[in-house]
Amino acid sequence: MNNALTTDNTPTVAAATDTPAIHLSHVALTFPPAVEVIKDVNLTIPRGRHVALIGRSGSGKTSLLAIIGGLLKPSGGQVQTLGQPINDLDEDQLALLRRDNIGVVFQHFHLLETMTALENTALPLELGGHPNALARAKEMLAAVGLTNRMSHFPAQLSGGEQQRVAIARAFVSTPPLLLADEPTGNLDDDTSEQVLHMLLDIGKQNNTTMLFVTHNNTILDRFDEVWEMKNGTLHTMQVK
Amino acid sequence: MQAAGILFRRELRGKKGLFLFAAGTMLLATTALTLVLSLSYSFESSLVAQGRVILGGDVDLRLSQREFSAAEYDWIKQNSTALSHIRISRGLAVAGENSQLIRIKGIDEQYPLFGELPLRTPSERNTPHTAVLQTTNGQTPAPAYISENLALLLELEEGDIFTAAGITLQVKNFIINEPDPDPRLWAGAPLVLVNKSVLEGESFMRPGALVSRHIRAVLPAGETLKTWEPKLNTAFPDGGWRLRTPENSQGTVRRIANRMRDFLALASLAAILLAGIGCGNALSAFLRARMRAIAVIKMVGGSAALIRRIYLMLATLFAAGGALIGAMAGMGAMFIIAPLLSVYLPTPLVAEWSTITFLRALLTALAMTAAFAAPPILRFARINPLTLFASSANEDSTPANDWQDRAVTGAAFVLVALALPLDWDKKIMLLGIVVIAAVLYGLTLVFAAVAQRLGNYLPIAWRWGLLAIARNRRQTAAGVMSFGVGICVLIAIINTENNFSARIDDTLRQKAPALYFMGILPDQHQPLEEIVTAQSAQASLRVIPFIRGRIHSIGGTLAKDIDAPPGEQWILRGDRGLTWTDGSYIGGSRVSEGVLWDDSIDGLQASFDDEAAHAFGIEIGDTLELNILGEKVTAVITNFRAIEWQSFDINFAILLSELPLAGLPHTFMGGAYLEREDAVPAQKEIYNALPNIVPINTAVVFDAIQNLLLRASILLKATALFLIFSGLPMIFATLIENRRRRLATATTLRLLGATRAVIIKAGIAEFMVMALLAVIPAALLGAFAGRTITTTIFELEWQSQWQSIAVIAVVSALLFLLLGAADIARAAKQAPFAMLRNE
Repeated sequence: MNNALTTDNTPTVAAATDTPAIHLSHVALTFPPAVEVIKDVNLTIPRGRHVALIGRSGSGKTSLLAIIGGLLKPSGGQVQTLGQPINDLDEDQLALLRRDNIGVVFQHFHLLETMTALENTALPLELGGHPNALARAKEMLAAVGLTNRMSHFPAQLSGGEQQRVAIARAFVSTPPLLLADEPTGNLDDDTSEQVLHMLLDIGKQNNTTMLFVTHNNTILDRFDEVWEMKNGTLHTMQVK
Repeated sequence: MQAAGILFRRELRGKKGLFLFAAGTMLLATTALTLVLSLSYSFESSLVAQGRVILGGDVDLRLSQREFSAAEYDWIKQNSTALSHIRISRGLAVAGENSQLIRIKGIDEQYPLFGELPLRTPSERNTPHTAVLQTTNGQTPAPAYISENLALLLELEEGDIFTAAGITLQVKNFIINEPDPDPRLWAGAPLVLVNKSVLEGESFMRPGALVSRHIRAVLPAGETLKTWEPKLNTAFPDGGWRLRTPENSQGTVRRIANRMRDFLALASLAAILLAGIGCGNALSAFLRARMRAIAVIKMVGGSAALIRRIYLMLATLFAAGGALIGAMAGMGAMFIIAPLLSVYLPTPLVAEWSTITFLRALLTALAMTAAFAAPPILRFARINPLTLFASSANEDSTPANDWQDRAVTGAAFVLVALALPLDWDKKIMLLGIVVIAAVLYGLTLVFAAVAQRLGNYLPIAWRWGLLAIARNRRQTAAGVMSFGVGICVLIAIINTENNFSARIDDTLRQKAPALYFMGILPDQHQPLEEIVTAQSAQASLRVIPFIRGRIHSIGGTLAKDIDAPPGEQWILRGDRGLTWTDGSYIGGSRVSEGVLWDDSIDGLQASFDDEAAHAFGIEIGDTLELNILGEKVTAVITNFRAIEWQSFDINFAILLSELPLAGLPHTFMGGAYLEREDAVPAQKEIYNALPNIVPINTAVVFDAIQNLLLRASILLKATALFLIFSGLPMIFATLIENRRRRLATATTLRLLGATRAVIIKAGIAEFMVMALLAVIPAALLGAFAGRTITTTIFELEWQSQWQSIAVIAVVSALLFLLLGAADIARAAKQAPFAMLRNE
C-alpha cells in the first residue's frame, strides 16, 4: 500500500501489512468561519481491530469517518489510511483507494435502485474491471443469505435485506478496512442483531479492520476498542 | 470504458420521461432545421440544374432603349451554335369588363432554346409555336397563347378575343408552364405569348417604348462566358446591353429564397436553442434525482471521469436519437413538401438529398445539446460521497458551477456560433433571441427568490403556489422560458405586421396617386390630362419626363469598378430611369447636401441619392458620366437628396438639371390624383383612347403588397407558433418533474386537513403565476422587439398594438393553465393513504 496510487483501473495493493490500518496525527477540521468540528485528534488502529466510535449528534464522529475514508480533507494534521498518506491524494486517487481497500456500510443502505441486488454487490469489482465480478458477488450474496434475492431490485427487498446487500457490496472486494456509519440505525432490534453479527463475523473471517460509528450502546462489548467523540476530541472508553 | 458502458445501460432502466420530452423537443427542432436547409439546398441545386432553361440560353443579352443592330445580331449568330431573338413588353390586357396587367412576349421560331413550352391542348405540341402564332400581313386579331391564370382572371376561353398592350389578340392555347419565367416577378404577372412580329409595330419600336429586346444564345462547345464575353466586348465596346448568365440570372429569386431560408433557419435554430436548454435542464433534473446514485458510485471507487462518461453517454443517446430522427424526418418532409411548394414558385424545385445538409443540421443540434449538457454533467460529477452519511442525508449538496464548467460551456457556444449556417447579422438576431430567453429565465429565478417572502402576505393557497415555484425555480424557469420565447416572437411579428399594414392603409393609400402611367408620348400629355381632370373637380395629373440611361463612370471610376454594397448595386447595374427638372419638382425627396441647382456652374448638373452617394464614396463636384441612347453625357454632381422611397411618389435616384441632349427622344411618366372610385373608369378610358400607355392602379398594387404581406405573415406566425409548439415538450417535462413533488405536497396538505378546493386553488395559483411570468415579460419584450423592427429596419412610425398584445397574452396564459389543469386535478384527487402506502 506504500506504492503510489494510479488513476487507471489497475487495482492498488496494500504492499505492507505491518503498518497500522488507521493512523491520525494531530488531525483537525474547521469549517468557516470558525466552527471547530475536530480538534487535534490522534488515533492509531492496528490491523484487524474492530473499533466503535460513539458520541452525541454533532460531536464529529461522521466527519472523522469521512476523513479516514478520504471524503473530507482535514484542516490540519496527517492522515494515513492503510499506510498510505492520503492528505495530498486527489479525488480520483482517493476513489481508487476506496474501491480496492475500503468498504463502507451506511445507515440508509444507499443501493442503486436501477440495479439488482447482484449488480449492486458486483459494482466495486466491475469498476475495477474484475473478470469474475458477478461470480464473486454471487458468493458474497450467498454468504449474507440472499441467494434467492439476487435478481431483485432494492425496492423489492425489505430494509434488512437491503442492508445485507450493502454489507455484501462492502465486503465483495475483501477490503482490509471497513467503515460503517450507523449501519443498524434504520433497522428493528432483531434485524439489527442479525446484521451486526453478520458484519462482525465476516470482518473477523477476513481479518478486516472495522470502524463503526454507532449510537447503540448495547453492542459496544463486541468491539475491541470503543472511542467517544466529545466536542471534537477523542476519548478512550474501552480497550480489550 | 467498460464500466461506464455497464453503468450506462443500467441507468437506462430508470425513469426516462424527462429525457424523452427533451429528445422530443430536439426532434421537432432538428426536423424544422433540416427541412429548411434541405429545401434551400434543393432550390439552389434546381436553379443550377435548370439554369439554362430558366434563362433561355447560355447567355441572355438585353437592350431596353434600342434595337440590336444587324452587325451585332450577325456577330452573335456567328459566335453561337443557336440563337433566339425575342421581345418582351408590359401592358394592360382587357376582356370585357375585366382587365389585368400582363407581360407580353414576342417569340421567334427558335423559342424556347432549352426546355419545353407545355400547352393545355396537346395536339399542337408537334407544331412549331411560331407557325401557330403566325399573323397574316399583320392582320388582327393576332393569335396568342395565354397563361392559365390570365384565362382565369379575364374569363377567357379558346378562340376568345381580347386586347393586350393595345393589340387585338385571339386565344389559341393556354400555357401550363413558362420555361423561362421572369425571376424578378415573384408573384408572376400573367403571360401573353405572341409572334415576335406582333411586337414590332410602330408603338413598340419608337424610342422610350416599354419593350426590352433579348438575344439568347447557345455558346459553341468549349466556349465559356469567360472567353466569349471579352470577344463580344471587343467587337462592341459600347453595346450597353445587360448580359445575364445562368449563374447570375436568378438574383432576385435567390435573394428572396435566401432571406426566407435565413429567417426560417433562424427560427429553427431558436427552437434548437430551446431544445438544447431543455436537454440541459432535463439532464440537470435527472442528475439531481441521481445524486445519491452518483455518490454511491464514487464511494465505491468510481472516478469523476467515469461519472462524466456515463451521463454524457446518456445525454448523447437521447439528444442524438432525437436529432437523428428529426434530421431524417426533416429530409423525408422535404421530399414531400418540395413538389407541393414547386407549384407556387416561379422556378422549378426538385427535391434532392444532401448529406452535408443532413450532417450540418444533426451536428448543430448535437453541438447545442453538448453546450447545455456539459455544465450539469461537470457539476454533478463533483458530488462528494460524504452526502451519503447519516448526518448529511438532508443537506442540499448540489455542487456549484465552477470556472471550468463555465469555460467548457463558453467554448461549446463559440463552436456552435462558428458552425451555424448563418450570416453574422442573423447570428446577432439569434443572439437577441438568446438574450430574450436569458431575460425570461433570469426574471423567473429572481421572482422565485422573492416568492417565498411574498407568500407570507398572501392567502394560504397563493402562499403554497409561490412556495412551489420557489422550490422548483430552475425547472419553472426552463418552462417559462420555453413558452415565453415563442410568445415573444409571435407578438413581435404581429406588432410589425400591423404597423406595416396600418402604414399602407393610413398613409400610402392616401398619399400615393391613384394611377401611375408609363410610356406617355409627348403629344399624349394633353389628351391624358383631359381624361384625368374630367373625372372630378379635384382630379389632377402630374407628368415627368423620362429617359433611360446607364451610369458609365462616376468621378472617373467606371461603374463596374465601383465597390457598391448589395443594397445599392441596382443603381449601377444596367439602364436606370432618369428625369430632369428646373427644381420645381423633386418628388418625395429633399436636398440634404449641396445646391439644386448651382447657378455658378455652366453645363449639365446632376443630383444623386444621398445614401447611394455615400455608399459609393461620391463627393459633390464629382463628374457623372452617363450613357444615354449610346451617347456619352457628362454632368457635375452638385447635390445629394434624401429620398423617401416608401412615399410612393415618383422618385429617381438621379435627377438632371435639363434635357441632356437637344432633340433627345423621350417619353413621360406620371401620376393621376383621383378619388379612389374614379380610378378604374379612368384606367379604362385612358386605355381605350391611348392604348400604348400602361396605367397602373395603385390600389391593386397595395392590395397585392398587403396580400403578399399576409402570406408572409402567415408563414412568420406559423414559425412563431412552431416555436411555441416546440417549447411544449419542455413545459410537459417541467410538469412531470414537478408532479411527484406536487402530489407529495398535496398528500401532506390533505392529511393535515386541507380541502380539495384549497389544493386546486394552490395549483391554479402556481400555474397562474408561471403563466404570468412567461406572458408578461414576453409581451413587453415582443412589443419592444416589434417597435425596434418597425422603426429601425422598416423605418416606419410605430403605433402601439396593446389590444392584440393583450389578447395573445390572455390566450397564452389560459393555454398554460389548461396544460396544468390535469396535474391540478390529479393532485386534488390524490388519496392520501394510497400515496403514503406507495412511499
